[in-house]
Amino acid sequence: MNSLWIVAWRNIKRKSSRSAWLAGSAAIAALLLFVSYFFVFSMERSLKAGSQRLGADLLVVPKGVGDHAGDMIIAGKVSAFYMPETVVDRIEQIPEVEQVAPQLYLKTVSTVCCGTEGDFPVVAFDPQRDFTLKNWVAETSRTYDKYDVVIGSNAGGGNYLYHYDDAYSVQWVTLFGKEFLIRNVLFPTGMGTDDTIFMRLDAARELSGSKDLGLDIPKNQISVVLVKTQPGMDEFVKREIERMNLNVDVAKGSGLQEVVNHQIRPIKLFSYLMITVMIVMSGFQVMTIFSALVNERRKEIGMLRAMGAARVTAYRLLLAEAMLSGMIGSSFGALAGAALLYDNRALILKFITLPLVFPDWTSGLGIGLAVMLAVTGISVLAAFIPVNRILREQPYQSMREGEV
Amino acid sequence: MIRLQDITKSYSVNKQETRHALDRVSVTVESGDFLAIVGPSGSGKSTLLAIAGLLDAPTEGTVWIEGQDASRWSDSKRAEYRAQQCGFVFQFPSLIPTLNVMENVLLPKTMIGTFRPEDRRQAEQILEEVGLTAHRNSFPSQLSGGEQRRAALARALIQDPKILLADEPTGALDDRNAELIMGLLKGWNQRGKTILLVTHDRRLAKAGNRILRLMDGRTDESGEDDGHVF
Ligand SMILES: Nc1ncnc2c1ncn2[C@@H]1O[C@H](COP(=O)(O)OP(=O)(O)OP(=O)(O)O)[C@@H](O)[C@H]1O
Ligand SMILES: [Mg+2]
Repeated sequence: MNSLWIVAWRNIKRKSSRSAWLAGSAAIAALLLFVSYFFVFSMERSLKAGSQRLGADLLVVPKGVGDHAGDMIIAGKVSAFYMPETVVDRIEQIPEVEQVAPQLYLKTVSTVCCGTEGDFPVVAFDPQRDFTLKNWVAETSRTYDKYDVVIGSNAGGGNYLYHYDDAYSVQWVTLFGKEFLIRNVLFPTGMGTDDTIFMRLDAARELSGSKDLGLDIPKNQISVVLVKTQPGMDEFVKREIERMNLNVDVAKGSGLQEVVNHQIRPIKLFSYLMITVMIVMSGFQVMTIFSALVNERRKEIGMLRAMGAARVTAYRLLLAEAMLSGMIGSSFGALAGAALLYDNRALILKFITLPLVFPDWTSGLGIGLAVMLAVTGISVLAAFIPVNRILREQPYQSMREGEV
Repeated sequence: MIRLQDITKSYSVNKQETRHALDRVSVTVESGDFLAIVGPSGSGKSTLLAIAGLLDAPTEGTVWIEGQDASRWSDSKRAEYRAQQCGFVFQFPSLIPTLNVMENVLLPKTMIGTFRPEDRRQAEQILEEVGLTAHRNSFPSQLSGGEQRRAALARALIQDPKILLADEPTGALDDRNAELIMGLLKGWNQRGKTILLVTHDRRLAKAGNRILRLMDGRTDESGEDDGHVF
């Protein structure tokens, strides 16, 4: 059996240019497959993240603001409206509520963020309770120190992304007379959050009061509570909150999620289409190259069969060759794809104005292996057709008509 | 025993024309026979050999092997028969170009049968018999035509076949080497093996105990030759 692999391997070496074509097309197929699958994978992840972020099923705001609650988030307007912090605890006590995250709208500040000058709404959030921003960032594992901020993709985010992977490039922004370290950047949403700068609630409270710094917020007040309910319970919880007489308005937040889903869906479909086209195309490619290969091997197959090789042995020999070429090619292609994507991820994040959560390297490896497997499988399947054609004829015919 | 009964093999040259490579040829080969097949070029000798060795199917007629109609055999049964009973030497170069002489000779063992370490010693011995010991590590492209032919013979003998089907095994050989090969074949035949030998050389044909003459795809019974009777 080992001589089967020897023959297959030596054939690959002997016809090195043709083998290179074969491996090369497998590599290109693997590369494109890797890239498109990678994007699909990323988008699946960000879609999940997105539904969690905008999975704020309910927005609770002070009474009278209600009608504008959704608009406010979309437009990123910060207006001074407050309600007591105790509202958060009250809502949290409803059993059907899973998570609550308070946010405090501070002020719109004119400053320079990452070389971008502009008016940025500044919002305070509670990193412990936050369940929205957390999943809407490129790097989900980062934690926030007191004077760290998260910025929207337009609030200097584009510039920031250039330095995304550079551990030594530290970006600061001055807010209310204090230097803040930019720790993370939000995905683009096409909504108000794109311009917003988020700082920690405790930092905001600490800075408030000293009038010369320009921040004056009432004590123990918040502006909005984002609520995540148990699935399907949003209507029920809404009524529960209203019955509590907290002097608040409750708005549903689910409409926002659909906006994002809508944005992503065509790209997702396109990627799936790409993958399908890729698989079919690489199949044809391998089939074409393999037809030539099998014709070259026609005489050899005839001779092997004359020696007593059954059809299966000949199948195995040729499919071994297809498998080797496919494996070598696809591993190069997958590696190239991975290198290309991970090496330029800051750039990709910048130019693709869609939320892309990059898979970590283990998922990347998984994708690479899956792609290798797929391409190798395609190679073998595609080779099957021309091989079959040759094996149907009589051995003597293969020997006479085949070339050497 | 191989019995060819009314074997016809025809090829369509174009839409209207068909050519008979063999035309109702019948011959019986008993085990232990040394059958020499002679005839002019294009008379159908190689075609007959291929059909007798189950490498090709006749257009009409029946190949009986040990009383069984071989056309009813499955592909794997035919392959098994070839692997266990037949050794072929072809008219054209037939070594695997990517394997060296030793690997080629051992191929029936390694790829088709089961390879055992002692097979290597047997291969060494056969290579010595055909005078190729010095070339055991050469690749086919590094061999002369006659050397390739002898290597192919060595490969045909490695499985110790009951039937050897050889198409001009001495074709590209000088007299001395031709005699070496003929001696080898005779010795093989004396050990009870069956040999079907195609040759142009009437001298060599006499080494066989029977001669089959072909002419334009038919058995030639005009007997216009040196009086050898079969
Ligand atoms: N695949 C084929 N297609 C068409 N004609 C064929 C084919 N194979 C053989 N023939 C014809 O059949 C006839 C017999 O061929 P064969 O090879 O058996 O001759 P041969 O007796 O072995 O000749 P030589 O001594 O030159 O080897 C020839 O006329 C040849 O042209
Ligand atoms: Mg011939």
